[in-house]
Amino acid sequence: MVRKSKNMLRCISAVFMRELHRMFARPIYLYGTVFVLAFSAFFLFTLTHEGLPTRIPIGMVDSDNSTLSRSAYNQINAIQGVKIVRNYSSYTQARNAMQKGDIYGFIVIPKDTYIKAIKGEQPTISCYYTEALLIPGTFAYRNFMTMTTVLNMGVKRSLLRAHGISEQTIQPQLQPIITEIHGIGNPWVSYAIYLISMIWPGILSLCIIVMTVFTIGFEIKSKTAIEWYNCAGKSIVNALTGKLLPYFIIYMILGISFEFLAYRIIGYPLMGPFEIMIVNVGMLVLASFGVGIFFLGLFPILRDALSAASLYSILGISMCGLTYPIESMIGPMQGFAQIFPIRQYYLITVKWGILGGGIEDCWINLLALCTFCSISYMVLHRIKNAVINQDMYIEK
Amino acid sequence: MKKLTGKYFGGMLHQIFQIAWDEIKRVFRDSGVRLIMIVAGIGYPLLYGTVYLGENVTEIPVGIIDECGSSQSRSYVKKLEATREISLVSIVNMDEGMDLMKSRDIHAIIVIPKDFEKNRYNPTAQTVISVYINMATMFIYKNIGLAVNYVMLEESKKINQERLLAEGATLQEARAGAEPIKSDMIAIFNPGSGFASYFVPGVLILIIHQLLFLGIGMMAGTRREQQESGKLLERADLSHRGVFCHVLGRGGAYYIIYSVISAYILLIVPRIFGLPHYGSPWDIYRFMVPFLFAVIFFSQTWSVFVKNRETGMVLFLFMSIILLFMSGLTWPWSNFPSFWKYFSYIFPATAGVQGFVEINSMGADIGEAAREFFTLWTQAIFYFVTACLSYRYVNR
Repeated sequence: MVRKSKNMLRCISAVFMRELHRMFARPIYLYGTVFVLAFSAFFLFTLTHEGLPTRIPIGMVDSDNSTLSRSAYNQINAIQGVKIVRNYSSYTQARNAMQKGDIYGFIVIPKDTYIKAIKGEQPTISCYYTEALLIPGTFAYRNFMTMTTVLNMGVKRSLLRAHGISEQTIQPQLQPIITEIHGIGNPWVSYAIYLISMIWPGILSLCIIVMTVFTIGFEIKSKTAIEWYNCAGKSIVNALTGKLLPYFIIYMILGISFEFLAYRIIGYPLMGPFEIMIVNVGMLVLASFGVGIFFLGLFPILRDALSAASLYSILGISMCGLTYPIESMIGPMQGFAQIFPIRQYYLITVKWGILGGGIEDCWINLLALCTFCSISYMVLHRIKNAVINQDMYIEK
Repeated sequence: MKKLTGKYFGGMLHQIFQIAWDEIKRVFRDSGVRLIMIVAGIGYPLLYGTVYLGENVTEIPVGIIDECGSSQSRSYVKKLEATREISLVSIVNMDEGMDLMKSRDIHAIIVIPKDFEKNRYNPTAQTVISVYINMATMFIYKNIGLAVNYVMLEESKKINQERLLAEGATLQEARAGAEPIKSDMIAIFNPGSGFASYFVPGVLILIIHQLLFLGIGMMAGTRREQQESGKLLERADLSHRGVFCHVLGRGGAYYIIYSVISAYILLIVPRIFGLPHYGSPWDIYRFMVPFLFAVIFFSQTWSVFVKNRETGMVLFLFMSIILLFMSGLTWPWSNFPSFWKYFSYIFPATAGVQGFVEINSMGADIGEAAREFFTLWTQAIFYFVTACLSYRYVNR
């Protein structure tokens, strides 16, 4: 028994060393692991460093040209979220600018707005925003809401002052009810947190699946599989363990660094323990390996496995439920979403990490990730067949 | 002399057509390329359309804690319930609410304070309604925020009006006093604020970009594996004329195939799923000419680095997600740090998505999308030259 496990260890370490040589022999292995993930993290963090997009370009059509419209202009520019980049002479001109992509929204103040407001005739100003680009459009909308509230308050305040009402009582007069929105897991309502905390693990999972398929499939394709298999003492489990171990180490280092950077250094808020995020990312890595092996076992020809794995894994980003909730998709799609490891990672992050739940909320997702790891066992014999008969798997 | 030049160009044209015809045959004969370029080109847009078939998120379950329990607060709750976005679940306290949130039965908690009714009749008091939202899904957060703010503003208006009426104002005066300036919020180009209407048109362009890129990479990898020299061109074709004819001929083949597939993706798919299609088909066609050529020559330039038929997928699959960001779909392009702004010009996808969204979703014509149109032509010409250079020199 002891001899057997010693032998196993020797085989695994032999394959491990062999894999290390292969990794450094061709740039694609290190590129596909370290470079891609480091570049993605660098890209995401630097692109969204503002947290929330500020000074979104909008336009203004001021046909009133009064103290009121000028104060509206100043008030809008005082709001951090938007910036008036141009005054347009007409609605059509502003609309064209929007079609050209120069601005994401504009406000139209018609003639005599100020006079009508003073007379109590309730003039209407119109705010247009484009929802063809949802994110900037929504920001423009939210800032328009703030602006009109502030503008109304200004007029009301001067009316109330004229009535001799004291400054203290004016505030509640203006707005008897206010809503305070507390974002759980994202108290600054930062858009960057949304994106990065899920997109990077999504890319991680995608890279692992594709790289696992490639690194095993390439042995079969280039007819080195038998040598690899013999090196592992003719055991497919040893062969796979030794082969994937260096990648596992690299991905774990990258994954833990990312979690540490996001939740400890940058300080994305967590209600649950930090350790659970380490467990979570570790499970994601293992589950993705499992899926990668599964694809290769299903289609032992590298090109077919890789095409299928690519088409599948790129969908994971859409199916994790980050921007658009899975619950609002049609029935079959809700089931389909469950077959992506990143979806389970997302649910564990939200339920345990962000909301501070526990094992009772997440056991099913952890179980699902374990299932992804173990489905690889179902195809081991197929991979073994492909390895032994490597010469028969010739691409046409 | 004239006759001679005519003969020279005639021969060249003949050669280009011959190369193009051979390349089309190769695409259809190669099962891997067929899967990526044709089958995925037809199936993927349908899949994405189906994923986001729900279009909008309505009736989101939200917990409500009514600490006041008066007739006034009950009427406020009814108004919340009446919004399209949320559907209320009565809960006792925050603990219960947090538990339901962890099991994802509700996505937010609204707390109406004890003094809600009392404050209503006290002109100097202000009521604070607290809303705790789970920030894990962007679209849910956006819609809940929309609904609670809308009800809050309407109620504030009503209370102000009542107070003014109580002070003896006429109805018209009270209305004007409560809201001196009315505002219309008008979403143009995607009036339903649908997620699919915003997201899918851009993704369609990215699908074309990525499938062409991966497909062309696979063609190049195959060619290099099959040719003994491991080169993209035979020695005999390395003359200036040979390189020119091969780049243009092969590019022309991909163009012919993809002008048909793009017509299906961009003209038919939006109509199947009821997505916006305001642009004229003629404008979209004209826009696609430089886009497709830019993508093709861009891919041909890069394809010299693809050694095996599979490596392209391993190396560049993750770029699909980076390109999603580059195109400004998830983070407003106006807010890119300037480095990433310039970087994004490398990829035809950036101008492609922006221009297509302008034409297709905002009804711009080619004149209004001129900036993107000319960017794409510049890229097409630039990448044609680089494709010729890399065929000639990098590939020696």
